[in-house]
Amino acid sequence: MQSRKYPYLKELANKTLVEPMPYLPLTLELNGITKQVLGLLDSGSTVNVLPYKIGLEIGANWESQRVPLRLVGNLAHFEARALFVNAQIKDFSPVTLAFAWTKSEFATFILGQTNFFSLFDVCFLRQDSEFEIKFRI
Amino acid sequence: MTITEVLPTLKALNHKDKIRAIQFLANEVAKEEDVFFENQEHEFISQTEAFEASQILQKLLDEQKANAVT
Repeated sequence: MQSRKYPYLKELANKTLVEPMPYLPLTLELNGITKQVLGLLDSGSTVNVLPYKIGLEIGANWESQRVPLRLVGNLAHFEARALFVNAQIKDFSPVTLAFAWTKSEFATFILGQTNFFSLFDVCFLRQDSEFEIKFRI
Repeated sequence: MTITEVLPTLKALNHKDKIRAIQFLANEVAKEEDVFFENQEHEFISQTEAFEASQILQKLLDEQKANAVT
């Protein structure tokens, strides 16, 4: 079992949050192209959500993704397609994350139940303003 | 109240408030027409009920896993 603690964040690169939130730093990789991102741990989300722009930045081709997905809420208005991306979290073993890649550029990068929470156990320690990620090897 | 009554008031607004008035009206019309503006600031809504998308992704993951074994 590998585990690591992270602080809740109140400052992101482009905005200040009203409340500290559990954003996990990770590195995405697709065909040799890597990008460091912050993913919001959202245990209430059924899926991982990848904003359109981030997908493009790691070299994903929209037209090549053949599996359409239907999202809900404010993302129901945008097309979404399935995309598998390699992800590295610190010194944990690399994993494959399955994303609903949305055409929306304003979506939040979400790590949800399928499949982030099926790979990692997460303990939210809100009172201590930190969260712990555990990976079963 | 009619548009002819409102227009002088709108005209008297400063530049910033005119833009706010435009945004307000645009959002009101969007609500009435159920139109979504992509570039508007909107509240984040969790994908709490994207069950179909979740099932499809899980199926793809299972297929990938099965292919890796064989």
